[in-house]
Amino acid sequence: MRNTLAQSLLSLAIGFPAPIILALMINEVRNGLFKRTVQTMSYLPHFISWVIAANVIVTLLASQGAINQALTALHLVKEPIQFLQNGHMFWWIIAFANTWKDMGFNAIIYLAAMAGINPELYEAARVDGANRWRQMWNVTLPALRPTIVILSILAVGNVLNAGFDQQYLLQNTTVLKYSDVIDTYTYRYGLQNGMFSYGAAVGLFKSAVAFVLVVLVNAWSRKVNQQSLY
Amino acid sequence: MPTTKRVSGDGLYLSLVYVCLAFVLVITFYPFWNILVLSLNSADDSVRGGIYLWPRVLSFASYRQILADSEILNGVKVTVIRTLAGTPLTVLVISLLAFALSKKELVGGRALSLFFIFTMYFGGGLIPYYMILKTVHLIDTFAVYIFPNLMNVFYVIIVRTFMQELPPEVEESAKIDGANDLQIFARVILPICVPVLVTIGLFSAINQWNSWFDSYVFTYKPSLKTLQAVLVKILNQYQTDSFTSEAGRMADSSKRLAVSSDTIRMAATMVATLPIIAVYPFLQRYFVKGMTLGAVKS
Repeated sequence: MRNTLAQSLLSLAIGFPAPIILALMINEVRNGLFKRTVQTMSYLPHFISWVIAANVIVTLLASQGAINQALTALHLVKEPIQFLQNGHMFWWIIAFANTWKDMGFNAIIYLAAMAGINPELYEAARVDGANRWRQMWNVTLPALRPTIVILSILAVGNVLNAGFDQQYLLQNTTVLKYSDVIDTYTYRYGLQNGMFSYGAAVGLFKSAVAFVLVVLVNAWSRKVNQQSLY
Repeated sequence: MPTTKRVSGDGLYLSLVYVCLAFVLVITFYPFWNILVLSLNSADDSVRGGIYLWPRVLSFASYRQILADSEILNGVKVTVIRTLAGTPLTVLVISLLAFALSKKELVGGRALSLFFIFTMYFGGGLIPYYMILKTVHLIDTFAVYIFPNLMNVFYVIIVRTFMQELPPEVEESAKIDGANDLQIFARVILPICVPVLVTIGLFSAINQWNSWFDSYVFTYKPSLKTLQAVLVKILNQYQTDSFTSEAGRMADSSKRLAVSSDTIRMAATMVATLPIIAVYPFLQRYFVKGMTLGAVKS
């Protein structure tokens, strides 16, 4: 449980702002070729399966992998860091892996919202002497607020869904204390150990809590922002 | 887009943006490149490490080994079949359901929609799901890859929204010409909906290609394992091996193999990824449009 919440919240903390920032940056670029290249490349990780992603990550983070080799070559560390055997690092690895995989794809939604912003607002800001940074801060961001709110409601509802694929594929016995989340726990106890009713109960519990969370956050948001999912 | 007239302070900001985006480009691209390079390198050389940008000793031996490996080949076969068979069926089911739900006249339509939406948030979990599949005798059959994936509420909502936005005149003129509901659906609605259907078809196909968990948990026969599930097995082996890896590596290198378990892993990963990368440019056009259609409207 602790692992689930920790991983979810950490992934959210890193992974929720990332697509927004990415979309904002892409929006600023005028060179069509560069823009399209970045967009195409950044969506790509979303479409590969977690199996492939896990393979890629494990290869990069291995003792002989590219990251360790770069670190030792730059003399930042004396010997390779065992990323995947270290329980403390696991949450961070998951958070970054989640971000890497989904930030391009999630950025699309924000880019779509940005395309709908009235250009006159930008003109007005420029007349007031705003440079691009100010334009972004004062025009683009507030216009994105409805989208951000809705997506964060959905994200909160999903907080117990820290995921299964990535934990299952990236974990090993040494990090089990940190990597086990509700879904892997259910899998282990439910399917592998055959404690079916216990596993079912855990699954149901998770769904119920998620449902309640979504309803609550939505009601709160509706009161505060006049904005809701339905 | 923000206005193009330059004002002071722009230069620094813009160069920062370009640097960050270049960084993003590198971190999304390099990992794949790394695997590609490692897969094309001969194993006894890889053991020495230090390969980043280009294979040192070019060798296709790993790929040749894979083509001879029946387990991987079978996995490819299973995955290809389920993608080709499952996707059109899924699109058909979803579009039929969306069409029905898009009609205001449908009796109990609102209740049904709410019911489906409820299932997006609330589900029983893995164990009850397994039990249902067991009860309908889907466990350990090929159909377990097709049936559960036929329905996806999210896609239904996207298609339904699209259909609701269509002008009613189109349907009315078909009705006047004497078409019944099924003909209206097939001849009038479907052709108009092609963009949205292609989008969810692409998502559905990718989902089929990438599924490993259902193969892992719901099937036991080795002949039914998908490519991704085979990859999981290879990955697990690697992870347990990595604890004793140094010894293994030394042994491998002393045998002067052109191929080792590592390079096979890389090559298998590339084999699983290449179709996605190949199809990707075509995807791009459709799914950006589709995502914005669905997301902004709903």
